[in-house]
Amino acid sequence: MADPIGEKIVITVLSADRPGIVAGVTRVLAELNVNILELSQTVLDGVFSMIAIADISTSGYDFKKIKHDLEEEGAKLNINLLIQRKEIFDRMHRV
Amino acid sequence: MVTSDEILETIKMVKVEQLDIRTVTLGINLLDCAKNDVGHTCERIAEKLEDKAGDFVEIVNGVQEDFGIPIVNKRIAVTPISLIINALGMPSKKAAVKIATTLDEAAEDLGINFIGGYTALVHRAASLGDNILIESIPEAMEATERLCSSVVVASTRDGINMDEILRMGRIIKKTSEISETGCARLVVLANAPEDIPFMPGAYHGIGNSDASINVGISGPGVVRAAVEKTDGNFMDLCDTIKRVSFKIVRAGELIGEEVAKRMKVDFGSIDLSLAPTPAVGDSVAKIIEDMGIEHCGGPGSTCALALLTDAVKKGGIMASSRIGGYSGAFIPVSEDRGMIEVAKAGHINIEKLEAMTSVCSVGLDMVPIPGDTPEEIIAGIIADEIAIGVYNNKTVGVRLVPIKGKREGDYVHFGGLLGEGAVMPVKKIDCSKFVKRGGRIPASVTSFRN
Repeated sequence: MADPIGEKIVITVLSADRPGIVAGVTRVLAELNVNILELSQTVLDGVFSMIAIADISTSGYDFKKIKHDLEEEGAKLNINLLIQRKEIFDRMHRV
Repeated sequence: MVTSDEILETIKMVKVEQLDIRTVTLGINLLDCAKNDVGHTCERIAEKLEDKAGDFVEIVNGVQEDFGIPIVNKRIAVTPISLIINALGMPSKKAAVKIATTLDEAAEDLGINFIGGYTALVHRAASLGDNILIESIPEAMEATERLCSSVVVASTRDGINMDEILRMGRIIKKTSEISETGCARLVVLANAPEDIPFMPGAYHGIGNSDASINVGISGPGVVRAAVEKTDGNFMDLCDTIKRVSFKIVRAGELIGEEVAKRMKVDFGSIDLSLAPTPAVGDSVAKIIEDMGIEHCGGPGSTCALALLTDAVKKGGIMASSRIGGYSGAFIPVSEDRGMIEVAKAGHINIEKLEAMTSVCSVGLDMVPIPGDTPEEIIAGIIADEIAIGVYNNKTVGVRLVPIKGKREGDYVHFGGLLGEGAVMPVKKIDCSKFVKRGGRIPASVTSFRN
């Protein structure tokens, strides 16, 4: 079934800083053939935050499956990981 | 392109400040279900609800997953049931209660926590169906857990039906005697819009299409967080609230559009109401206190609520052309953590609440009162509140909850979203001669706009 809404997702990670977080998340995205459009990360007072905007249209998998796999990886890495459709941010922050 | 700060702001709103969509309510027209025989009518109602709402909860949950914004309640509102009763060959109280239990059972099957529309529209006068429905309310509430009932007794255009207000005094009292949560699911309204998503006032007005989605947004916590950070003057304060309100409404609009699209029904409106819950941090009273008033209910509270409601509306109107329903701020006494505290401490009473409701969007909401309050006094309190709505051209609702066997100062727990609270004192001044004069108070001069 064609996806009724846009194909861009936002992945947000909040966690204590340690090695392997970006690697873990991006490996899952690569396995699902999801294309990363933007990636930024900062560490502020030891809190690691990563935001990735990605295009799932290349993937062949649906949003549900991508979300499931990423959340599974998030649980494995013991990080706060959120996956949301990008429209919610566009709609809330743009007139 | 959205910035990282904006993304993190949204996430903070959800994770820390309790931004959520309070309710997505599916309105369903049941007029085509009315048959001569009540058994047949109930079968059709059950079939239609299943047909229209069978996948409703699943679809709403899917939208919640996609956007990462919690949607707390899924609800259904139906055509005012008094209209269905009017169409029955042999209308009776027993038939009305059968329809009530049919709706309640359907709600349970569909995974819906409240179903609204056990409604009578008597702002001018009562039809046979209205009379039967109103008289059946105590038993219908007793027989159900999810059913919500509303009775529209007045409008600015039509005046105030005092006969029905007096009757509702009796009905509320009787309901409180036989049903524990019945009065919490029953509201008396003036100037009721046809697109309210919030319970218990939601019904699917006859001006709507066969099925439509209305969204009730929330967000007292988000507004409070913004107000806390603002030390500026009133212009700055109002601007801050407007900006936050804009963002909340945009979230609600997207959710509503998406649910309506997936359900293949109309998107009706967004009710932009700050709807508090008993959760810590989700309180309208606390916003008022954060503006600089020691306790909500103290001097300045009405003014603070007025500017809050106004700024919330302005932000919302800018954000979406679909603003409807109540739209403003709710101050339910038992459902708002801050209100629970000030009521317990005696900082707020029914009279101050009444003043505050003249500038917010609803009315006397979830006010626990002593179980022995006479029905004429209940009617008098309703009449005062309804007058505020009628003469100021605004929606008001009255949800008084007499607590059987309890006196002022006693504490009650309703459970869940309905909250808890201290029983409020009620002035025992006789108004029975007034409320029993009979008839309808004519339409207010403010209604003559033609």
